[in-house]
Amino acid sequence: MNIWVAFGVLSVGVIIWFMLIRRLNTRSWERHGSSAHVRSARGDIGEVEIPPARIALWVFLAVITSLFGLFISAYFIRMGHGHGAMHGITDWRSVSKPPILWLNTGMLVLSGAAMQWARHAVKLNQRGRVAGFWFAGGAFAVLFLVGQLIAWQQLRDSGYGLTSGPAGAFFYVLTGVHGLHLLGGLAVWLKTMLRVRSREVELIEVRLSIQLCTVYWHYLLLVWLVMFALLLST
Amino acid sequence: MAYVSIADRDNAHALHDPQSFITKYIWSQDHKVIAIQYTITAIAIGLVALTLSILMRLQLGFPHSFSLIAPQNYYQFITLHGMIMVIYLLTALFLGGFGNYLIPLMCGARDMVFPYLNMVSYWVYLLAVLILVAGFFVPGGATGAGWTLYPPQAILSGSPGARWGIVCMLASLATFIVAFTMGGLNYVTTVLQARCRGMTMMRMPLSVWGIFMATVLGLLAFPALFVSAIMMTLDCLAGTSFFMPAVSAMGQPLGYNGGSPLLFQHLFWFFGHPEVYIVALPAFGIVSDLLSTHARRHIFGYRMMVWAILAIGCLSFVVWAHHMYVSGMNPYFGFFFATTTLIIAVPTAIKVYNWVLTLWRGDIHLTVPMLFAIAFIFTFINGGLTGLFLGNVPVDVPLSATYFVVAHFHLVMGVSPILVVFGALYHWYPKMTGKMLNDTMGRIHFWITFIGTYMIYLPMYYLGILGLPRRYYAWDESIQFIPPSVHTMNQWITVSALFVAAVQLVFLFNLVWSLFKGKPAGPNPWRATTLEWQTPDTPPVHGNWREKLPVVYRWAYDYSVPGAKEDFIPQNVPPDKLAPAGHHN
Repeated sequence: MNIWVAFGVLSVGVIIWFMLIRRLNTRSWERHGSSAHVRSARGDIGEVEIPPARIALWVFLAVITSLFGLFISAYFIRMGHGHGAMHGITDWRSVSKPPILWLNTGMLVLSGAAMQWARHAVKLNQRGRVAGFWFAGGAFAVLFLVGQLIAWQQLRDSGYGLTSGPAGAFFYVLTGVHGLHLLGGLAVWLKTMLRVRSREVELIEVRLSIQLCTVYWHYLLLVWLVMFALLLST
Repeated sequence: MAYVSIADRDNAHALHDPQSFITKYIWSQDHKVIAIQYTITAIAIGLVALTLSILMRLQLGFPHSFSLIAPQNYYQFITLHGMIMVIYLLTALFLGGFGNYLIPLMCGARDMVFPYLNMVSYWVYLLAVLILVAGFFVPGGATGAGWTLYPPQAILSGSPGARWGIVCMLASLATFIVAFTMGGLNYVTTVLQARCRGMTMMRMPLSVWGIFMATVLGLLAFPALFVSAIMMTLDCLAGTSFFMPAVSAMGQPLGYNGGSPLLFQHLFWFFGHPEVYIVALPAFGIVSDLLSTHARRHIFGYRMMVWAILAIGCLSFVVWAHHMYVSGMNPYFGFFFATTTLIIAVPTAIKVYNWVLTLWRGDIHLTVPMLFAIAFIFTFINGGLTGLFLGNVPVDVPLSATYFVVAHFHLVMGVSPILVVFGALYHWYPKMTGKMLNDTMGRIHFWITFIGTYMIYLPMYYLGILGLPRRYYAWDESIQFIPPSVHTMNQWITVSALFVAAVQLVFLFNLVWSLFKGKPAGPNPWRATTLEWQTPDTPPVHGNWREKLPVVYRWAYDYSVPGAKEDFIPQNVPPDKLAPAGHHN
């Protein structure tokens, strides 16, 4: 099983990478199949659809996929290993999952949904709604993080500390690394929030930040769902 | 939203020149300054690693003569020498140094797409280097776990630096990975998004291809090292048992239970093998450009070269366990990984053939960069062919952990890339500084380095076949199978290494001396076709191209085109400026 997880991760990485390489024959200054393509062939101003920040985000998501994929792969390998694992004896002792994790999952879903609504409101140029939804998105994410800390505390109080066994240790590490990624996202969220509130910044100028931040949020939700399923099932 | 392509932002997005000394040279966001910062830092820490290797050789050649090299020091030297050379010197120099300098210039961009991130990348790299060096000064000294840092011994009290040295090492690696990721996002995005008009991917010089693919490998492989660094730090500091099995030290059972050292090896080599190609692919790319330019001949099989780079990149992720044949993993894995290892030799061999065919009937100029490039081909073949031996399980098992392996990996991923680094520095120094490096000093540097290298490593193959185990501090008389000739040969190797190390000082002196006294280079001393030689200023100023970005009309290898006035046609020469002549791509 272990090796297949590793290969699965690898394939995901290769697919994302291939999506980048698909651009092998593209011209960075042109948009294919559009009127811009024709215009730039005439020598007029060319356009590309994808701003560099979007490419960078997707490359970064490939890096995160590799990171979490390897963590999960290590999780399975460690699970199948242990003192006397050859004889069916293992030191893997499942930990009780604090029920608050369900609530936290709900918070993260709401957070992503609010951001999605903010993203939609930018299209309609409704500044007030953008600010409201954007704030809600971040606030739910903060609640998620607080909830995760409470989950840590509950787990520790029920006797599963960091050194209680591999399952407990992995729980702290996986949730911790995921939380740190969300914290990094919150820094960008805060910066965008300040720009949305500022009267000097046009809404169109923060549109890209909002779009990319939302993609990142959805992605971290996906990572959390995969990890949560993994933690619940083992 | 219409988004104006970077290639079309001519006047509207002209960069503001930095004013003060600090923004120009210290907190600079200019890719060329950052490249030079990376290069100088990498060379500085590389000199530390060189010194460590000399200390090791002194111990091996003349055991018991140097009281300052105790066994634990020897292991610290081994560890730091390996880690610095592979990561802090080669990776940083190829990607942070050459990547930063060449990508925007060769692609016809004004700068990296995220200059601020680029600057932060350098400073975080410097922080990683400082944390690494701090490891020498913490209680217990630097870690002596070997560059692979295998648990359990890396954090057991018997190893040097098992408490704080290893933590410094892991913290430094994690910091380096953060720095690399910031730089890497820049390199990939710049190549994909900021190429000038006409520069299709299939017109890019192979240097850019090599650096680009190596960056992709790094971005996907470094997380494996990051994961293992985090989990090992927790094993060391918090007492978790990710990698640590139940183990006793000094007769006392430690608190660890059930961890898997093999898991660490899998994670480490899942990073470690692509790392070989992170170092090798930029070298492959750069050497292709050096050979083509100095042989005045187009690169043979350009498309094949690009696809070989891509194939090597993909395959490098499925060969990692050939480092682990003797680790106790499932023997069936050995068959799989031996097969993939032999498969990866195919695209690599294609590249070697193409380099040789590029030289064939070329107008070869034996300049110093060309000497280093040809030396690379020799050395890479010597090192690479012995890799075919070691890639097969039945041959690897007896040779594993002998000096045969030491000779193999030094030639293939130590000396070969370093020869390209030297060639590249001699080649691009005129663009970086506007001055030529001194030719006589360059030739002295080349010949002593090249011949000296073989005097060091060829005997090691022989020692390895004799069965001389590596990682030993000294071979006592108690080891019966080691004949006295081994000791003589070790002395020979040590003396050769001293010469090679000394001549590097000539090179460093040349770098500084030529900055002041070197011949003025002019914009294009090698009469090369690629864009970096066509900049309006030498060295290029901030923004690289003044008002107008270049436009590219041809591939990077129009050398000796029949019917053309000169033996090279720069990439940005439009077709109507040429006499009717051969046309490529």
